[in-house]
Amino acid sequence: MIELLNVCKFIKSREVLRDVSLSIESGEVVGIKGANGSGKTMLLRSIAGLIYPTSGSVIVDGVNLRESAAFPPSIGLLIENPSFLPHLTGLKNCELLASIKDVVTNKQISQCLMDVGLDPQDTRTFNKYSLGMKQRLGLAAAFMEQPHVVLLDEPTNALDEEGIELLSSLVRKSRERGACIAIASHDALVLETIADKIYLMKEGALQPASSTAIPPVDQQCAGTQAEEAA
Amino acid sequence: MKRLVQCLRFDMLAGHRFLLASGLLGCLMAAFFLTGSWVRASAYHVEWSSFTLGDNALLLLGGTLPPAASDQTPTLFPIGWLLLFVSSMAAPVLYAGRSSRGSFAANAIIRGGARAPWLIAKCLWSIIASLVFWLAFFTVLSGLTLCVSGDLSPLASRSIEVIGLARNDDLTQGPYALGAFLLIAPAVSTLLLVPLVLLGILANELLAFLVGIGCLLASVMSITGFVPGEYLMATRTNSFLAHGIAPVQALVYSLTLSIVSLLIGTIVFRGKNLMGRSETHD
Repeated sequence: MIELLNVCKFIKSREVLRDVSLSIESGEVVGIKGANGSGKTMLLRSIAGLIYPTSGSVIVDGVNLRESAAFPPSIGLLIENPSFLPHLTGLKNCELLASIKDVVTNKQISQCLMDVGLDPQDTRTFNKYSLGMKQRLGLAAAFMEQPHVVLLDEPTNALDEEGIELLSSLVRKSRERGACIAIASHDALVLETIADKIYLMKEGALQPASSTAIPPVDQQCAGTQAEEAA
Repeated sequence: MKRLVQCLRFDMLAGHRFLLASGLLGCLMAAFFLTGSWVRASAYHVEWSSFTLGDNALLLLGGTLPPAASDQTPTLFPIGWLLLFVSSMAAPVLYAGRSSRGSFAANAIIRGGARAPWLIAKCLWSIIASLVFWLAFFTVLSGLTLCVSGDLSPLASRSIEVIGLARNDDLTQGPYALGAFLLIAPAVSTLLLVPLVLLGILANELLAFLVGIGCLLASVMSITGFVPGEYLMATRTNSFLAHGIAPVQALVYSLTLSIVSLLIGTIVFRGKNLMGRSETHD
């Protein structure tokens, strides 16, 4: 389970996350839509443990990331444009990443590559991949270890119809095995197809997609203000 | 410990090209600058075949003597020495910096499970890369010495006085006991890489290089015992100077600097926002 409790984040005095509270249960897919720069990626980074909130808590599978200075124990991540070692094939890149935790076999990695529509025997190195292939490889890396937490940032970038179908299939399978999945995308149609719940991110604030009201500034980050007063 | 081993194993696999490059650079530096130094020695009518292994190592690792108050002789800038130590930094700083940015780095670090082991593994990898550089360097140096003079003695001969790497009034030992320091200079440069690698990861590689080059440049005219580059010059040791640097002093200084920078770097990195290449850093 993923829980965000009143998370605020300032970067260079700019508030990028405003009093965000969110919970994602096991076997649930949450979609987060919003314009560019609305804070979707920051939200996913805070769940992944790549950034720490200025205030509030991020608890993933019982681990409070701010206190433990660690990362969620089982996580798959697709964030930014996928980058890999340019001189290695897709399979070798995935095997290299998988070697860190060593929880999957090469056969499982090959199967995951096929699940995203890539050929594990392809001898082309990553620097020769098209944008769509790079995106698919990023998805393979995110799903190959069957993580309990899956965070996908704009996963449909550069994907064709077949790629989007394959993505949907992977998300469904992960949901069935009880993963917590968060997908950030500006593509509302895809989110409506895949997600159980959809939220709207606007200027760092998170709200259910059906609501358009943003909390007034003086009511935001109430936890932070209370702490400072104390 | 397990996480550290996992992260280090990953770096050994992911950075093997940089390891090979480091070794190749070591070979090239030894061959290129030794040849250049021999050409310089020719200007002093010194036969190449008279140089021992210690002499040849001193030609490359000697640096330059500190400017003497009473000496009107202009200081010859040790460009070969400078480029040698800059090239020893190249692979470690570049790999550590580049492999800590982008989504591949993000995927690697979250799989590592914790920040500190990931960072320490990068520093350990850099030390290994530096040792590869120096191993290649000394292998080629020994090979060339064997071919030209056949004298693999680590002691330096009087030939170095002729080419200006020592002054009579400063000599403390003769023939000069260089063996220990010739091993310690690479060890010191390996340890001094740790703060540079951390700077490359926490800021960027260019800044790390600039700081490294700045320290080397400052050491040419300095004899304070504080500027790190001074510990990399064999001619600044107490084998050549009455109040020169002792090998043990060099090791203690560089080890202290490395440990302190690693502690500070780990603390900073634990709280750092890992933002990726394209986004704003705080």
